[in-house]
Amino acid sequence: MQTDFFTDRIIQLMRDVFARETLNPERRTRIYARVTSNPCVKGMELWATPATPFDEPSVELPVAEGDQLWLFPDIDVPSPPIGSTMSPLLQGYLAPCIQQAQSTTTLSEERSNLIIEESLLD
Amino acid sequence: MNFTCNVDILKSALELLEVNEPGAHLSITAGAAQLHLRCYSDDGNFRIDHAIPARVDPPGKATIPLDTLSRVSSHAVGEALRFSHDEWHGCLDIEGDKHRHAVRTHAEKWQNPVLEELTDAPGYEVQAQQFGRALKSVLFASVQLSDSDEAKNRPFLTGALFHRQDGEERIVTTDGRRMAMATLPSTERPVDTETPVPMRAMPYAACMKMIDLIESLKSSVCSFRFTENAVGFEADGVSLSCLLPKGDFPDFRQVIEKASGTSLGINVNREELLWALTAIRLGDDDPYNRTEFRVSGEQLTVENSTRWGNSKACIPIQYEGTDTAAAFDARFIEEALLQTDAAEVMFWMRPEPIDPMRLELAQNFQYVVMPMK
Repeated sequence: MQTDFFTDRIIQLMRDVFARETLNPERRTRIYARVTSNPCVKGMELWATPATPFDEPSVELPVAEGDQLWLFPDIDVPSPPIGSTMSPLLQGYLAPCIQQAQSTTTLSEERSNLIIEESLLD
Repeated sequence: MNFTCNVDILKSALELLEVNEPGAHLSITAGAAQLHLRCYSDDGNFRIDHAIPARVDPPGKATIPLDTLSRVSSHAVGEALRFSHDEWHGCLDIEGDKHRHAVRTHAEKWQNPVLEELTDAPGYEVQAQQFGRALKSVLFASVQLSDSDEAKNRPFLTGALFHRQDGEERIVTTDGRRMAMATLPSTERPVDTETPVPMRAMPYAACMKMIDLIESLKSSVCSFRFTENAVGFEADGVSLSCLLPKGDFPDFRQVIEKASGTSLGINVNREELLWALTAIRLGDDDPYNRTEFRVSGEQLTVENSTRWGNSKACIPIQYEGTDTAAAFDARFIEEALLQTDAAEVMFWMRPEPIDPMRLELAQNFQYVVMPMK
């Protein structure tokens, strides 16, 4: 699942959701942090493209290791599947979204809204 | 068990036995005019042994927490400490000139029987000071224990590989992104090519302790014993035994081969390069550390582009090859440059930006670092 397509889908999903919904910056930052803490996801693009300027998160996280080339790629520990590494808050919704995104080329608005609903519960 | 020993000798011994392991135990075996002290970790996979002279009558054995005896002895100077232990009492009584203590003893903890197998393994000697300096210089490139995720995922990269081939002895470390390799200077003594050495790293904590022992004891020679799963190290009567991390060390020879292309080497002043890498850092908390190295004409340009802006510095070099550029994590270069006091270092960059950079930090000291995309 660790593909560019996969990463692009998550980034697109976040953009769509944040563009539509009103979330305070702190909550938005926490969602960013949770997604980017997943080793499957390259987080850098998220920071570079906030939905609106005032949504720039106040805390930045290190670049995902995907940018660093490895001397011994064959011994690199494979990242666990998203279902087991994503925070419980998001895993129930993002994983199905990605699965759906992989089978269709457009994201479901219903799925996007589910992320927001879940984050608001936190 | 009763014994008496000089507190200064005891303190020196405890310093040698000291390990950065929470909950370490100290086993004291008194007999034949000496104390055999054994410090071992709570999981039983790491231990250090040392013996000191003492007046013993009758012999016996007791186990206490390591740090308690260090505390008791730390405030005493020059005096003789008298110890007595009665199993029924469950305490080791310690009496000095003006102080008395009763330290609770406990049953001896489990120790890994694999470490016992080292006794029968053949010994292998190396020049201690050269080995200690080499190990100290390369250990920075190992997976650090402070990075708990990395240490858990890649335990076989926490520490250093001791490697022998064709009469050459090398110490190699890597965290997967960069690799440091020190070759021990050849000596006149015959090199042992018979004793098998596993292709597995010696644990980081053991490496640190080896360096500490070599520096403290000023040893001229130290020796190793290897089994398939354990390493034993001895210097001036202090011996260390521990389990090797699970998993084989990667084949570092391929890396050296790959990094040793036909490109021309570039000499650069070490302090100028260090200065340049520091000067172009616009923020201390830059999480990217991505620095582009460009070799063009007679200068090396290092450039950072971060959220704070762009910054670059140029260093004059002697180079007549093709222009080359690649990006690297600047921390990896800085850390390597700090491990040598050489005035100049030589580096090789190959035309492809996905190829590793090789640095010759000093004679017999190679470093390879992978670029960033």
